[in-house]
Amino acid sequence: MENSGLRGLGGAGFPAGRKWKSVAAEPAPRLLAINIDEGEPGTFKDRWYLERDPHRFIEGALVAAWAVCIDEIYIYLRDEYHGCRAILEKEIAALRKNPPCKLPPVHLRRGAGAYICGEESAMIESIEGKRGMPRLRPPYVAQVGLFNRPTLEHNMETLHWVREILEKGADWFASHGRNGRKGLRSFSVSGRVKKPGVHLAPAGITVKELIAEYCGGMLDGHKFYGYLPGGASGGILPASMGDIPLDFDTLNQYGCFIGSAAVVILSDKDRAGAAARNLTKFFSEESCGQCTPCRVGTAKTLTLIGKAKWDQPLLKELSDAMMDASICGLGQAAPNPVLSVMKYFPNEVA
Amino acid sequence: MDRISTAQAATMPVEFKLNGRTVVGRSDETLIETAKHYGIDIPHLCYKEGMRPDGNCRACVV
Repeated sequence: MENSGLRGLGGAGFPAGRKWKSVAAEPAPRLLAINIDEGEPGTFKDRWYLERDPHRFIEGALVAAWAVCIDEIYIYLRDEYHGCRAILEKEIAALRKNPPCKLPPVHLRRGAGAYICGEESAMIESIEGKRGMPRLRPPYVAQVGLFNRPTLEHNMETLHWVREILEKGADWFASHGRNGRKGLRSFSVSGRVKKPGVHLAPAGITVKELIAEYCGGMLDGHKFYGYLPGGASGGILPASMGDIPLDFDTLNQYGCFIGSAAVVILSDKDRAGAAARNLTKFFSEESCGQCTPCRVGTAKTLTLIGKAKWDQPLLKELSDAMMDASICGLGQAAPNPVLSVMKYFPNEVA
Repeated sequence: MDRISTAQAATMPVEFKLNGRTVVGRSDETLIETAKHYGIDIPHLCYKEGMRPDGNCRACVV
């Protein structure tokens, strides 16, 4: 698992093998919490795989449970995915009836519509029956997690790849990749392309390559203008920067990141500023409200960018406070759309 | 080396730099408390001595 280089595919990108090692080193009982909240706007890869091959992530979960000596498994499912819930209920029941191995108890828990419950510690709070407010870390979830037990938390797709990596070997996964990057990525592509959807492509592919080779090109009458490389949190880049390899660590120098690989394509019929307003409104509504920088910062940002001319120094100062002091990734990443527009689409907001 | 008790470990001195000056705190003490001993009042809103620290106003982030 370590040699494959597999990193978490929900957004944070923590090395999977290393996480297994760290939880295995903690005292029993240990729990596994599987995150299928899939709340990052533009992301639908988990749903795609769940609808077509739910057994693969379950198999990955059972392998992880065996390797890390897990006592109980909790699956947290986005409640809007009721079709997937029917599938999962049926398959978990079938699994219990005829388990392929010693089966730990498997609990299927429903989300209730909160984006913040996709954050690992807020998800854990939610499973515990409390309000989905992220915890202060340390202690980290691997040491003190669900019901105070050491917890292995994974995005569903990360576990989905365990089986193939074990069958084909660590080198197989790492043998894929483009532009100097390693691995595969399931891109959830939406927006102004002919073929939106989940596209499994080499990590490191550029957005221009992705549009041309996987998405059938731009819609007729639409000219490529910009893109979100990583959902609502990953920033917004212009078409002129469409040759950057899409992977972990490659976008960070531009103030962006790949997150859950939710790529949204904008055309000349769109405005990056309008996208930023949409995303900022989303963050202000989804903020759990626990900490001042995010609760107040997202609302204040929304007010400031509602004006035709943006007060850029004030927005920058506010963004710095949010990125420095927010308790969790929501507040830390919420300024990214606005910062991207100020940096890469200055003509829109001068 | 002699083993120390948990109680002793909690009070072990922790040396660090505060605003460029070397200070010594206890390992069972918070930064706010140590700073106060040295006459530095870290701005805070949600912290109240004697109550569980919640750390959500973020005014004391250093």
